[in-house]
Amino acid sequence: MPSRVAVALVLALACASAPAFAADNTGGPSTSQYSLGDQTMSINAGVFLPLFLLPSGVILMAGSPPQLTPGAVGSLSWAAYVAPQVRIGIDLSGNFTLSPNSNVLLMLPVVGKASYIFTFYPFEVPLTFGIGANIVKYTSLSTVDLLLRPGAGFYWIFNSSWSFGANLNYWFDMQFNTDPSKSRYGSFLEFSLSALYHF
Amino acid sequence: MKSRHLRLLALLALSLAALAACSDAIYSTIETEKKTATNTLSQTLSVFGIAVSPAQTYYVAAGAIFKGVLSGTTVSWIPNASDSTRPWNPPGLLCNAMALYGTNLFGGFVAQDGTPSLYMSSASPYSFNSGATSLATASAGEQVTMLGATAANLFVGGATLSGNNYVYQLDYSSSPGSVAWTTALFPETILGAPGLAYPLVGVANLGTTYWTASGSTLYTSTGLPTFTAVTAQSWGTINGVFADSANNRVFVVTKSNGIYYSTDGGSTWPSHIGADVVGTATVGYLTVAGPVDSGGDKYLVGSDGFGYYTLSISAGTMSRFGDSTIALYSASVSHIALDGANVLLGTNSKGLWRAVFDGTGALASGQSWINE
Repeated sequence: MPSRVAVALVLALACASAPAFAADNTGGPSTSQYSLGDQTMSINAGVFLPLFLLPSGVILMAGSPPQLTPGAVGSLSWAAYVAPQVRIGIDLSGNFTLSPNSNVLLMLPVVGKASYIFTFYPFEVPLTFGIGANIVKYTSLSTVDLLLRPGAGFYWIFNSSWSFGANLNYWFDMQFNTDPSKSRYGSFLEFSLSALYHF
Repeated sequence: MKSRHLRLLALLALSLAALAACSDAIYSTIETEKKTATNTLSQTLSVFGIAVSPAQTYYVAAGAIFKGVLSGTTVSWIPNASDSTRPWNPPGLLCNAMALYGTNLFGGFVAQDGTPSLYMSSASPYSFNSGATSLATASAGEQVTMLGATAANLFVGGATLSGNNYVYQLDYSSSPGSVAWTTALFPETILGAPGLAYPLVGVANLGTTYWTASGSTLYTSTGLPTFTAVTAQSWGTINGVFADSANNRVFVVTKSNGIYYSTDGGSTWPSHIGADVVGTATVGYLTVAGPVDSGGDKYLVGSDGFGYYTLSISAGTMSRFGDSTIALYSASVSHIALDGANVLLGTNSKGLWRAVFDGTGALASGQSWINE
């Protein structure tokens, strides 16, 4: 039951925040060179750092061996501009980390995301909020979790088609269980390098 | 329009996640996971036999023969993963079956060229190297595929090439050291077949009644050497038989039909626990041992790829060992040996495991499985 209350709360927050991301841009540090209808594809790869679990407070990389090791993450992302400095899109990711017995924790999230891009030519800084379903697999166990993923990026605009940069994303993975005492909320950090193509 | 899209996306994701609240608890499993303790044996051994004699001294057949002595909480193994010598094997031979009978170990061996052999070890401390005796089998060229010891006899399951096919036979002797084998008679062999079509997978006995199995047929004998088929159930492919003389019970474990057991010494077979189903896989069972509790109620059942189960006679149920974070969870447990509170599990390619039980059929408090 508490899990359903949590879902309702998050739903309300997410819906309430959606217009903020969707608002048309009327200003910014400098003018975006993109406009409605422009699209992007990006490929990203980097490291994935387990942080902690709530409400138990377990620090995942503490201890020897740690409960989870640092891992790797990769993703493909598509987005479309809905305003010169706002784009929305979808992101397919995959990452893995290892447990003390070398079991693989695998995550395959599908995330819808919205970004507001600050442009400081030749750089741009997208602030992103993503929400989606995270398919998590571990030994014989599997779940589909609710994933919230705020983050920021820093890109160098190489030319009108290509940008290169890095992303720092915080993963808040909500794993609800039919036994509420086993529900956990996982926190992770993603740092990835990115190549972004405009078309 | 844009906010509508985002709301729709959020609703979709939240609905999916809310619907997916399930019984699997990955993070709460990970936060309590402990690294499996290991010892000096290879963690990829395939075990073909375990003997305990005397208490806290273990002989494990896994190609090489490993001898371990438990002192305190640790077993010292000779040889081990860093020792390529084979001090207990006959020179150049690999062990594929082993049983303790009387005051000797008996082992089935193969050479690298496939030549089979049967050996009787020296008396304790057992060795197939120094002081061992090479024994003739009942048939020339017979490969030992199974060794089973009962109170009165050592049984040898053997395979012999007949034309292009192997045929299987069961031989026994009360004094195997003197090579006085008698070949068991089955309905098929009495009718003229050169042997059985499938390997013998075990021998069990209560008093003067014996059971063995081949393929999907369970055989019993109340007057050796003649066995007759038990048709009380449609067994399916049988992987093993086990008898508990203290409680007058007999167990038959099968590849896909679960476990059958008799609580009246094999007179009737009314009890059956169907095979567990994990995902879409039907669990096959390989072996039974026990009881592992002081009440004589609980037995350990080795499965083919799903670790081990605990069978409760009083409840008529089996429950799977639940720690999915260790390799034993998905191991094929083919051999189980009991040494007081110590339980040893031999697996196919996932090594030998040991744990201390508490007398109720569960791991003792603070204990966990050690991958020896």
